[in-house]
Order: sequence, then structure tokens, then C-alpha cells
Amino acid sequence: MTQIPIDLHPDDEVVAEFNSATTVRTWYHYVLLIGAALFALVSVGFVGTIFWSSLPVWLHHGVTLLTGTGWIGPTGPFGGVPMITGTLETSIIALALAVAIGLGTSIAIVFFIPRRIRNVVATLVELLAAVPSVVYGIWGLIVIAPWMAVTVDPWLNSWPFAKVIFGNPGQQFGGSLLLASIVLGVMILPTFVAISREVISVVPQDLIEASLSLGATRWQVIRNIVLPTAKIGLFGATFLALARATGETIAVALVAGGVANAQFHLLYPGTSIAAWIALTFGESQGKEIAALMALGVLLMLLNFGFSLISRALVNRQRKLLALV
Amino acid sequence: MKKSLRSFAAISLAASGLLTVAILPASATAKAKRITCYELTTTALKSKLVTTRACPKGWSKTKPSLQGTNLSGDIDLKVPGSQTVTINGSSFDAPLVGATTSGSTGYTAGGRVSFSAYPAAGSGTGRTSIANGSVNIGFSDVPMTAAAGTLPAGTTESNFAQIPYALGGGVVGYNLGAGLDNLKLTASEIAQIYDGKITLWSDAAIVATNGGASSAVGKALTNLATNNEARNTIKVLYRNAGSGTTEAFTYYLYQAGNSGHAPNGGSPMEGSGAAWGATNINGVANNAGMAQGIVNTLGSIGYVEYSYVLIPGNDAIQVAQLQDKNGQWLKPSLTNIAAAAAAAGSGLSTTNFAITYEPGNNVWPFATYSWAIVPKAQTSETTCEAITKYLDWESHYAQNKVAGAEGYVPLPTAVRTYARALLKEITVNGTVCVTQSS
Amino acid sequence: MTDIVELDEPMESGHEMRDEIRRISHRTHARRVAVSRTMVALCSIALLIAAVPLVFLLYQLIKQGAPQLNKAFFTTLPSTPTLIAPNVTGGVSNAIVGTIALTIYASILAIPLGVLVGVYLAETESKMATSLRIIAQTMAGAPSILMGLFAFSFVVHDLHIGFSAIAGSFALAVLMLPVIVISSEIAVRNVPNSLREAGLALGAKPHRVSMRIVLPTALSGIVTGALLAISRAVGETAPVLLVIGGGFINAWQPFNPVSALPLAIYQNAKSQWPSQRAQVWGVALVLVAFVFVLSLTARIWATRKQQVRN
Repeated sequence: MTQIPIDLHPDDEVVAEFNSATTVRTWYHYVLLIGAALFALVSVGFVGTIFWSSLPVWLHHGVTLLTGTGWIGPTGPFGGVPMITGTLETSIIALALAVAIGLGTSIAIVFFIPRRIRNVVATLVELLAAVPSVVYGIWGLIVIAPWMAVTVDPWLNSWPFAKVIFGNPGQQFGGSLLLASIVLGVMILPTFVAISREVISVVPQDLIEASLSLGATRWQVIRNIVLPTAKIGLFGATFLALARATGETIAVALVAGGVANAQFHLLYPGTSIAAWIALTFGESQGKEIAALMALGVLLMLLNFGFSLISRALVNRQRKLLALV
Repeated sequence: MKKSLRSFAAISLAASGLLTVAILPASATAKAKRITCYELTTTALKSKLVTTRACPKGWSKTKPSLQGTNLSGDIDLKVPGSQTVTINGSSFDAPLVGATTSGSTGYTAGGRVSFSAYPAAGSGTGRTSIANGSVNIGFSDVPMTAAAGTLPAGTTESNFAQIPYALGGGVVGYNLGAGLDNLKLTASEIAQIYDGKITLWSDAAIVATNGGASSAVGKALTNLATNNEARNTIKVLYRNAGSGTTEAFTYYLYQAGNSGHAPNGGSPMEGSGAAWGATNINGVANNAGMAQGIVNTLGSIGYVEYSYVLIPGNDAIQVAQLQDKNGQWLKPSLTNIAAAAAAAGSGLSTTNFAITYEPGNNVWPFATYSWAIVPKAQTSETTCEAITKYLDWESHYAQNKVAGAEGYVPLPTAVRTYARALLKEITVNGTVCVTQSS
Repeated sequence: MTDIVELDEPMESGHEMRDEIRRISHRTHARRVAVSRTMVALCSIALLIAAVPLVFLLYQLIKQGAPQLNKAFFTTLPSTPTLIAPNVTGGVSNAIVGTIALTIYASILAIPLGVLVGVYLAETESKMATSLRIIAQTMAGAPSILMGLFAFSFVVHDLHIGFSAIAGSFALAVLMLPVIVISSEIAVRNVPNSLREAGLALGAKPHRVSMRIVLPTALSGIVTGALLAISRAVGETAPVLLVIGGGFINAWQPFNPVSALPLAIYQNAKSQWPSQRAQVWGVALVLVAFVFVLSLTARIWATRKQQVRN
């Protein structure tokens, strides 16, 4: 047998060439960098432009914006309390509705629906998310509002503390905070279901099987194994749904009544930050536009805050499961 | 001798024959002289030859101008190129603006001119938009004047042509439900409602004005209190953007004796500048928002332009009767709004434009003109012609055809003349736009 | 855990533990099964409740909207009802033309840049990439009205372009960009590393590997993401409400005011004329059909390509 000399040491030149080939900055890398820089620029511009336009209001009328209760165009004062309370009220009630129904829905989709139709059902629920906001608005205004006025409102007004929570019956038509909360709840439901479904379905199968093998019923498995494991992710889903609720504009603009009154009665009209901007922007000038931009900054802070919290929670959930 | 006699007779015969031949046609034409007479109807320009010396009644010898008639040959319909005209401003004339800028009754100049959607953001926005150049035509119920300080910095009234666009009335609308139609409200009571001094519909003053506690209406009002009905609380609606309708409303209240609503700087219809004193009060966006607010809220009161209460979707709005200067109770109608314009006399101008609370019988107290504001110095020929010809067409043809059906009083002839004269002051590089035959 | 029971004596082996637990579970079996069945029923009811609004909404849309859809609806311009003619509402051709124009301009602005950034994020590991990823995810959930404010400030006001299609497209592009970035990144990351390595092993330069091997493979994912982004942008009212100006003609030029389907719905819904309010359903049906077709196409495309690859 002939001895074939095999050189196992790679040629330094070849190595050098390979390494440099991976670090050489060709036009391709520059194009990508430019794209990334452009995206960064757009994002910074997005936040910066709105903040800059609203700067005069923050410097001179910031306190009024955060504590005043009346919004009087075109020169002010511009009080943002009705919008802030309206946003919080509608978002929280909508969230309660969405979580209550959404949790059951996602559990049902993941655990109780036969695998074959699971995709169909999931698609149906996610088609809900594809329906444009304005269509929900007109549906709420034309279909749900009259139905509520006839069936739901009288029933609600028969509750013991009705006047305190709901206000006087039958005095306001065409929109109320409760209606806005319900429509909003329907709209954020698919967001919550999408994330909670993902979070629930990645609970390790062996935990579930171990529990079942010990004689636990399906509900016991869900309640004692799945939900606690997915708890952090479910909170993440909640915050994301909350973020979406705060940002919903047109549906709320159409069904909340559009009145800037800082009050809590659910059957009275109200408004939210995003809805108010949409409603008053068209006829605003100068000072009022700056005030609306300031409201936009508030909205941005709320929404981004909830979004980031949600992201952190979902990431933590992923890390936890990776350790299991 | 016989020969010369014969030739003399022949010559004179020939001469007389020639003369007769010469004169006869002349006398024939003298007897049958024809002139062309013209008659301008709403559908056509008719012309005919007549043999009389003068034209019959209704016809004229001079060919009348077709401008503003919408007939073929009307130079208002000839624009040199395509143009989209941007508009914004008062919601007081929004129905008329809508009818003249879109749909089958809109002005298109043969498809060359179109209009942006009309946001009806209020007279204040109309004035500021035309001041910063973001629209071609700004509509406002109150003209920009130096006295009121509404002119943009560095300009005077001579920089703008403010053309009368519409003549309409405002009404005080409320929503109390059946049995309480056509409530009578004095200007003083309305002022007190808006100032927060009268807070219930069953207030003694309102009952007294409506026939006392023993009349049918009075009983219905007092029942609101006895039954402790929620609609008894007056919910006041006001406009919270720069609103010309509000300025007309406050000026009416002020002229009817409520000194607390005096105009801020003293100029007519300048607005009092102070917030309303009522506590159960909500702001709405424009006339459409006001109409919807009244429809949606039982027990509410507001002020809105007359044509809005005629819209089928707004029939829940009940209209209050108001008193004219002579103390008569009136329901609004195009007749008594027209009487307000007539009572104000001639001489409409940017310094003499308020027609609220005019003296006379059956004169609606809450009426006003609305204005289209255009800068006098334009830069583009096509834009200038589109704007001026639209406004000329609107102040003549549309006023005849559309205004009445839309709930406005057609502009009086003197006002149309004034409008056309103003339009002739709008130029591009010195050329008057509205008279160009393009 | 409610079924923790004290054990009588220490267990000696796993078997005994298991048997003891089984005995306990037998005792409580009936009650636990009853509870479980109730909860299963409740969750299924929740699922039904979640599905009801969609079914109800679609039913309303089709019942009220379908009768209005005829040729005139799609080809004529809208008419403002007047007291002379209160029931004449015209069609929505201006809104359809406007929506198509806005979609095309916004796609031109957003898709190339979005794909570029997505590829960057998938191929780069750096602090900048991580921050950009966070920014993209946060902006994907941002309220759409803020995009309208941004477009107003920047395009309408600072660039002095005024109310125009380009302003609306800018707002929609800012809306679509994060979505496309995220979905492109996922699509590129999903390309198996083996393909990349094979290319590099054969001596291709990294950028050639990306462009000739990775991108074509990721193309279906990128297209899916783009379609989803477009379907979202088509339905958004808030960003266009502030900046496109509306109008009653079939305008599509970038620097002219244009109309759009969601804007037409919004304006009709707030109208005082019952005839215009009634027209809302027809326009809504057109919009929802458009959005659903785009969404479902994206979804079907994604699952089909998945199956092909598998």
C-alpha cells in the first residue's frame, strides 16, 4: 500500500481566506445596514415627531392635561382626565370579558377539540382578529346598541346599586362606555386567545401524562399543572390584550358616545384617548393639535408600557419552559 | 315742341318710375322693420325677430348675459383645465356646500372641476385654513374683519374677497318627547339656561311663558317635576370649536337684552369668549354633531342651523318658538328668515353683515348670512377660474335651484349683484378670472 | 392542590406510594369527574360564546350588505343626499380606487424595506439587532392613530404636501413595516441551517448564499407576511382618517386627496341621513371580503408551502 501523505493541518492561507470571507463587508452588508438604519430612523422619527409636536403643551400646560376635566377647543383649557379615565375603564372591563371567555376558549381549543378540526376552529377565532375595527364599530352602533337599550339596560338598571354604577336609564342613546367595553372585549379576544393558546400548548407533555397516569381528571390536569406552568405567559397575554385595548380607536369612537366628561357611569357616553384624537383632530388647529399630540404621547406610553411588560413575561415563560 | 314735350314726359315718367322703384323698397322696409328680441328663461335663451319697434314684455333688445344661468354658453361653465378645489369651514352651510359640490346638483364645469370632501370643521377653521393657504375656499358665518381681529397677521380686508354664499336661519332645538312640541322660549330664558340659572324644564319661568300652570303645555311641564323624570334636567349642548353658528346665537341673545353675552371686542357676532355657566353641559363638534346630540339625549337643548332639522334622520329634534323684536312668537320658516334679510336693508358688506334680531313683523330673530372667503390675488389661472366661476354659479343658479329645497333662503338680487362685483376683484396677474371665456 | 391527603404511615417503596395514591384517587373519583365535566362544559361554552360574535357579524354583513352590491355600487361616485333627493347615495368607486392606490403605494414603501430589515435581523447577532427587534415588536402593536399623527406631522405639515394619498400611504407603510420585519425575520430563520452551510461549503460567498439560496427558500414566508400586513393595512381607518382628505372623485394620484373604503364606512356611519347609514353595510361587506380573501390566501399559502417542504 502506498503511503499517501495526508496533511491534517489546514493551510493557514485557506483558513485566513475563509475567515475573511465571512467578515468582509461587501455591498450586501452595507445595503442591510442602510435598511436597518432607515428602520431605526423611522422608529425614532415616529416617537420623536409626536413628542416634539406636543412639547409646548407639556412645558406650559402639562398639569392641566393630566388633571383637568374639561376639553374646550380651540384655545383651551385642554383637560385629559375624561380621556384617561375612559381609556382605563373601557380597557379594564373589556379585558375582564376577554380573559374570562378567552381562557376557556383557549383551553377548549387546545385540550377538548378533536385535533382534526382544531385548525378550523382556531382559524375561525383568528378571523375575528382580521375584521377591521370600523366594521366592529358599525356593528356595535347599529346592531348591538338598540338591542342593549331594549334588553340589557333595563336588566342592569334593576340591580341594587344601578344608579351609582350605570347612571340613569334611557337618557342617552347612541353610545355608552359599557357598549364600548363590550365591543372592545370582542375585539381583543382573539389576541388573548392566540397567545394563551400558544402558551398553554407548550406545557411539556410529560408533565401532563404523568398527572393523568396518577388518575387526575382532565380539569385537574389543567388547573393544577397546565395553568400554573403557563401562568406567567398568561399574564403576558393579558398585558398584550390590554395594550391592544388601549390603542383601539375607531370602534370606540363610534360606540362610546364621544363626550368628554370625566364620569364613571357605564351607561353614559364617554370617550377614550385614541377615540378623542380621531374625533377632534379634523377640526383642530394649532394649539389643539399640539394638545392632541400630547394625548398621543400618553397613549404611546400606556401602550408601549403594556406591550413591553407583556413581551418580558412571555420571554420569561419561554425561558422557564426551556429549563423544565 | 311736341317732340320736347314727349321727351319731357318720358324723362319725368322714367324719373318717377325710377324714384318709385327706389323708394318703394325703402318704404317697404321702413314699414316692415324687424328687430331681434331675447328672452331668458330658466331653461333656455329664446330669441325671435319681431316687427314692432319695441320688444314685447319680458323680452329685451340686448342679448342678456348667460353668466350664472347654467345654460350652454354660460362662461361660468368654462374652465381652462382640470382642477380639484379644496374647501373647509362652517357647518352652517354644509348642506348647501354638499349639494353644490357633489352629486347630481353639483358644479362640475363639464367634468373638469371637482371638490375635496367638506369636513365642515367650523367657521374658525374656515378662516384659519384660508389664512394659511391650506384650502382654496374657506367658509365662515362671520367675515374676517380688522375690528374683530380675525384677519391673519400682515393682511387687511382688501386682501380677501368675502362673498355672500348663503342666507339661513338658526333654531333652538330640544328633545322632550311627545306632548311638548313648539315650546315657547324667550331669549332671556335661553340665556339663563345656558348660564346655568334655569336648570329644569319645569321651571316656573318656562311654564309661565307657555301659558301658565293651567294650560296643557304647562301641566305637561310641571308633571315632569312631579313624576321626578330624568328628562326634566336640562342638558345643555354647545359647540366647542370655532363656531359661526355660536357667534350668531350669542349675538342674538345679546341683542335681545342679555348684556352678559356682549361680544368680546365689541364687534358684531364676535362671540362673547366666556365659557357658558351651565354645569350639566356638553360640547359637540359641529352642526351635525349638535343635531345628533339633541336627537340622542332626552331633555337636551341646543342651537342648530335650520336645514338640519329638516333632515329625515333628525325628526326627533323639536324646535322652540322664538320671539321677534315686536314680541310675536314665531316658528322658523324660510319666509320669516327672508324677512330678516329684508329688514336689515341694503348695503350688505363686511362691515355691515349682522341680521339678527331685526325690527319688524314676522322677522326671524336668529338669522345670518354665510360667507365664502377667497384671497384676491391668485396664482393659478385654472384654480382662479374654477373658484370664481363656481361661486358665481352658486350665487346665481344654485340659489334659484338648490338653496330653497335645501332649507336656505335664496340670496336677494342686490346681494347677488354685490357678490358678482366682488368676484370681479379676484385676479391672476391682473386678469379678472370670472369674466374669462376660457 | 385540593386533594392533598395526609398519608397514615411512611411509604416504603414507590410501588406502595403509587398504590396509595391510586386508592385515594378512587375514593374521590366521582366528585372529581363531575367537577371536570362541568369545567369542560364551561370551557366549551366559552368557545361557543367566542365564536358567536363572528358568526353573528358575518350574518348581518351578508344579510344587509349583499342586496346593495350591484354594478352601480362599484362604478358610480357617491352622492350626498339632499333634501331634494334624500335617498340618492350613489356608489363607492372613489373609495375602491383610493384603497387600491393607497395599498400599492404603501406596499412599495414598506415591503422592500421590511424584507431588508428582516433579513438583517435574521443574519446579524448584535445589540443593534436585538434593539431593532424589540422596536419592531413594540411598534407592531402600536395604536394606528399614532401613525396617522406621525404622517400628519411629517408629511402633511413639515413636507408641506398637504392631505394626499402619499401621506396616507406613509402612515400605512409605517403600520405595515414592523409586521413585515417580524415575519420576514421568522421566514429567514426558518430556512434550515444545512442549506446555508452547504452553500458556504461549496465556496459561495455569504452574500451570495443569502441572496441565491436563503431568500428564495424563505420567499413563501415573506409573501405570507406581506399579505397579512396588507390585509391589516387595508382595513385601518385611523391612520388614513387624519391625512388623506377624502373626496368625491376617483382620485389615485399620489399628491391628491383620495378616499378609502374604511373612511367611507366611517363617514357613512356618522351621517345624519338614514339612507347613507344604511349604505354602510354594503361597503363593509366589500372591505371584509377583501380583508378575508387576503388573510385566507396568506394562511393557505403558508400551510401549503409547509406541507411541500415537509
